[in-house]
Amino acid sequence: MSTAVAGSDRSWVVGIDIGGTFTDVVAFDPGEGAVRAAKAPTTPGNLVEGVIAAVGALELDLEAVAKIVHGSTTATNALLEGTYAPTGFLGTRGFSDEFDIQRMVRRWGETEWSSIYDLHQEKPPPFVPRHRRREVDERVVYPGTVETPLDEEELRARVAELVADGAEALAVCFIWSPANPEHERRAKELVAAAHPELPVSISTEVAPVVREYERMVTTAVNASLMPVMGDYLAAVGRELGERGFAGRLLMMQSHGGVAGPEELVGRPILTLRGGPVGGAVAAAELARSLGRPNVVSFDVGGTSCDTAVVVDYRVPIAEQTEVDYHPIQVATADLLCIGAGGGSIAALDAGGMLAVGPRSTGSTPGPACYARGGEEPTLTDANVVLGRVGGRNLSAGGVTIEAERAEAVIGAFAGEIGRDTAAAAAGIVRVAVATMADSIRLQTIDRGHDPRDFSLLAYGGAGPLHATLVAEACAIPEVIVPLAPGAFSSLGMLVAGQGSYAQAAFLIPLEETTAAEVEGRLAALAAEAERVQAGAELTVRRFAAMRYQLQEWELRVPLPDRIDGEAGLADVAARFHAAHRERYGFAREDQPIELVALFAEAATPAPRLDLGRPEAGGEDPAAAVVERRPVGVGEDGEAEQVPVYERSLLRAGNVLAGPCVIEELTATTYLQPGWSARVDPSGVLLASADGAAR
Amino acid sequence: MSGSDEAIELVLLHNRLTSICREMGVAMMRTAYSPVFNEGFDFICALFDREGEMIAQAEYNPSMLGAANFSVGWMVEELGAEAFAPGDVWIHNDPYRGGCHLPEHLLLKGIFHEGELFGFAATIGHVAEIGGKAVGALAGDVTEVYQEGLRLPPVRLMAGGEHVMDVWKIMMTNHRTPKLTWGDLHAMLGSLRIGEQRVEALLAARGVAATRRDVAELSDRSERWMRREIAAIPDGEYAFEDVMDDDGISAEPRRLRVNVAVRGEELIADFTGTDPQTAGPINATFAVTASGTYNAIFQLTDREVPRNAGCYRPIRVIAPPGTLVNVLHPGAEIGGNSETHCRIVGIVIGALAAALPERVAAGDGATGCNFLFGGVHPETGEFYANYHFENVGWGGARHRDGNDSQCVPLAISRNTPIEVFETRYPFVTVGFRLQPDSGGAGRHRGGLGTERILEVRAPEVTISSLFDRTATGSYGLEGGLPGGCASIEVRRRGEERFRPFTEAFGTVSPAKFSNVTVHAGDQIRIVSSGGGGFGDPRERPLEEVRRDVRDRVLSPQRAAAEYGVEVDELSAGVLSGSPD
Amino acid sequence: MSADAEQLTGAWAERGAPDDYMHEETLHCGCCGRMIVRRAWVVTAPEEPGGELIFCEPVCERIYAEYWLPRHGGGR
Repeated sequence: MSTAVAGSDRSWVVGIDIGGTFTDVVAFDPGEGAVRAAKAPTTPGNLVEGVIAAVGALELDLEAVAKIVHGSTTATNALLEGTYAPTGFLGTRGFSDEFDIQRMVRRWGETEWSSIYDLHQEKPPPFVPRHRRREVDERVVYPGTVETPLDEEELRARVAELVADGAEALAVCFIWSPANPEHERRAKELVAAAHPELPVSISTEVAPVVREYERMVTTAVNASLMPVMGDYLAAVGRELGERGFAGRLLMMQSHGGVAGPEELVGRPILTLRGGPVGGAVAAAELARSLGRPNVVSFDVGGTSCDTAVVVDYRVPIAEQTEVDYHPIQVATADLLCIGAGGGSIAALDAGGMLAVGPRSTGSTPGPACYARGGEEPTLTDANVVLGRVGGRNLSAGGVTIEAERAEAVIGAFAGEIGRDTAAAAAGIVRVAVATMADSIRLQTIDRGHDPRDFSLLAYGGAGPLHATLVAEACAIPEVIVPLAPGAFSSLGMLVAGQGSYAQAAFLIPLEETTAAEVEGRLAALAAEAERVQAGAELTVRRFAAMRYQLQEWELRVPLPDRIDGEAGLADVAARFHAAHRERYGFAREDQPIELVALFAEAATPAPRLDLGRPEAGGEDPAAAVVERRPVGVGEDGEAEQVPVYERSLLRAGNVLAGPCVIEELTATTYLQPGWSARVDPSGVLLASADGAAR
Repeated sequence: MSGSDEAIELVLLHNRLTSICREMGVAMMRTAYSPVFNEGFDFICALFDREGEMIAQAEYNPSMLGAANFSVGWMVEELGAEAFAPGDVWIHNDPYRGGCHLPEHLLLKGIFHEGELFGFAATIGHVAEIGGKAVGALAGDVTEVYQEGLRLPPVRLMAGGEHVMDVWKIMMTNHRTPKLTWGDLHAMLGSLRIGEQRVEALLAARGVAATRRDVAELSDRSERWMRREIAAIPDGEYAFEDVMDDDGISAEPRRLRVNVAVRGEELIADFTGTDPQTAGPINATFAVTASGTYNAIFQLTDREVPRNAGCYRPIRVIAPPGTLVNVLHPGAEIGGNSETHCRIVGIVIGALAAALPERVAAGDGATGCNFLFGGVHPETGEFYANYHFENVGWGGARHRDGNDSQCVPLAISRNTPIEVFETRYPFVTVGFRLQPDSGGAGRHRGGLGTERILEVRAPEVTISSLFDRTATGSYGLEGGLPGGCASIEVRRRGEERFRPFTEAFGTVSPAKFSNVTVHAGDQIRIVSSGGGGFGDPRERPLEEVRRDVRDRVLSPQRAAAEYGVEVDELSAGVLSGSPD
Repeated sequence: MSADAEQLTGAWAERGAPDDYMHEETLHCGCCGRMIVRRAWVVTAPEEPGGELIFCEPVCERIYAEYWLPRHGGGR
């Protein structure tokens, strides 16, 4: 147990990242610059257990912790696994069929350029099936007039039917509620009175934006996640509290900002990508410090491979995302996730072809070599057979590697496919690498980015293990491996977790408002954003979404710190014209501008995270060699004796030639033949194919 | 360059060019004023070489993509490469110069490198209001191109970066909603500028000669791929025909016919035998017929074939002049690129059902349900006009039911959100639902059409309509039954029921008419058509029939009559409760 | 589409007059029916009225011989 700190001296900040296999935590003391990392197996079914175990492994007095920033996959997992609540929908009479009719008449969108010539494209099934939808008499018409009052009797009767039919959450979305939310608010009150336990989500509290179908679906998805998120937040708050934590608990949101449990219990959808976004934000920060504007953030854990393409140091943010082709009207980091990780299971598919993933052993039972009952061959087992993963220091998270178990399952699989054990292991790795490379190509080449202009920033427990192989397959010339790659995502929570956002619709022609009114609204939003950050030293940035009158789509433009009078508004207009010209190639100075929405972002300066720079040394890394062992380096797993380095013994300036293995507490890096790496003064490894490490 | 390096270079170039076109499209969608652009995606963005051969496209409106080969080719051949100068933008919407139909405006801009013409950035956009007999151009009873709106041969819209105001003024005076025209054309100009800048940067980086060589190689590769796809279709002659309701002027049905000849790696779609061109506006231009044929073949072949000039080359179209599929001047063609286009896609797919039974599907709803309206908005006092369309059910197929409510295959339009629609136009939507029983019965049923009811909120609104598929349903295959028909009806204020326009207003055609005036409190009911069924309905599993009845997309009466499932067999699966 | 050059007898010639805005008559390919813009692939055919067949491109000369004539016989 570490030194106890009195409650009033709370200073530590803790980041928690739940992966498919491990839950990683990292703690940082901004005063001392000290960092600790720990991990524990993720506990599906009850994620809180894993969180508490990992936090416990930090050996830190929770009374000394000021803030915990938490990225959770609770929402995503519930959607992917179908464990969200059966959800009823209540809408305006005449419109609930929009769940079937939908907007995306074909699977087409800014994120998905699928074929326009596919006769057999399956339309996504409605998120709420017909028998769980009800309509009531009520109607608001533009610009907000009540035309038909809400039929409260009918509402009670319909909700009772839905509850009787098994609905465990309720979504309410009425036509034109963004213009007049009164009926939705009243519906919420009535439902709360009749069914106090039933979680209810109304559209104007989730996505108060015009376009009813997208709002309906977003609200329904949100409602379906409320029970599972409510349980989770209550449990994690209680468990941490019982262990002495009295600081602020914040959850990571999809766009990289944070919010407290009280904000999220009713809006769990804001956390949809709150897990993987942490790593991407940390990747962008590291990229900046290394002067590499373009990196592919490559996070491979036990279950999945998450990639994001960072261009000009920015994580791309999309205003809308999709889950199974259902539109989600929430700003989200643009990430691609595929089911390929260390725990991915190797199997022969129906056509007799070797496939790795997407089925995974997760953390329970885990790969065979974890000796926790896993009996299927996994990617990690293949790497153990090849000697790329050793037994020496993989005890992180309480797991020890038993190589003979990996030999047994891979050997059995090799028998099935008629190869020797090493060749089967090499084949499994090759197939997994090809799958990961395809995913990166989708985000680079298919979007017109030349991968040769990028570096691959590899982290997660299994990222650095496959990084040089994947980089070569996608023609990416450089691989960057940060220190403590296994904890990198949770480190991202510390860097990324410092911003919070507030937004509100404000639809008005710019010339019909005043600087004072805009300032007033922005001040309210800034206060809302600041409240989340409880007392820290904050910088507030403000934005407005604007468009030319008659346009349908808006553009988000940064605002000055202060808008004063007519001249201030004229400056806002000028900023919009300039942004429009920059983005779309032209501006229309003579056209009236409409304000659509205002945003405020409150952020603390990102803490400088120094994980301890290595001492300077010469090129020769011999002093860091801890063993030499046979490692399968050939196409078919042919073994060579290769050096194994201990990362903490490496010195800045050391140059490592592949093939070799670099081991550290949270991950193993494998450099394939033909690659070499240099230890940067910052501690990161910079590897490249031609030996000319940059 | 080694083989694999070359492959990387080519795929990068193809993807870069495609992504430039996509970026052009996103800019267009996000800056345009009309819902037909910003929600309906009724536009395209593409790049061409200096001979007018397509080198890349983004996945927008398929009907325009196929036709762009002809309208761009026409412009380049009529004007000659020397006519294009930096900063010039040419405009053209003439169906009698390679276009599809009058609303579709092509804007073409030369891309130069060191003073030499490399190629063109092109956009085609559906300008919603172009003057003519009725608002929104798609009047169901016009008889000449001159009634349809303002026709522009290739003329300069911009010269040396400056507006050619003489042309703009002519357009602004002749279009009913000049503000929208102005905004939409500027969205197109912005899109062209993005295409131009991105290609210039690409040329600066990789050189003109290498890029010319590589785009030619990309086209050749596409052509070879498409030839292999056609070679995989069994050789033979496959005929099919279908009937359209009427031409809006007289009540007789009109016949479309195709013979698809597959010969090795070449495919000929021969429309000989199609009825002569009509007085009313259902005639298609050659570009439309070719585009519909390409669309059908692309849906039946590998969708990964890169889309550039090469993939069109092995597909040949024979369309006799003076028929419904190759209209002669001055025939009316405004509905050819909507109603007839759908049928052209449908009969080519129907013909190939005999050759590719696993790949085809029964007929989709095949009508745009084009509904046009305009007038003076009671709140703004300004003229407004809108081009509204509906989605339809798609056909059942060997392995699956048809999708409900999906855009016709010639477009990729999304429906306009009700909340966007009501912001702009003086209607209140009473309901927007799936239309029960509109999916053709089959082992795999057709998809459902929709029902939309609109109530007029202005003192008066002038409406026009151009629908087909109101008399015969979309075809079923292998024993599947036809889909439900489309309709447009009216209920005058105070009346009990909806009535067809033939009855309420004495129109010749039930769904092709123009300039009918409706008043505050009147309601319009638009029903879109369903898809045809595939396979014998009596082979549909009982639980799927039950599910459809439970979900109220199939009535118990139809379940009994068409699927042979009686009411007592249904009850087990039917839940209480109804969406309404 | 490549056409086997050795079997073809036509040659390119200017036939269309797209910039003649006084007249609206259009000239169409004798095989596929497509409008001729300016250039046409012209085949000498003494038996035809006018002594020639006009195509939009060489491929249509071949398709005319291989498909159109056997199926439909004679010209348009």
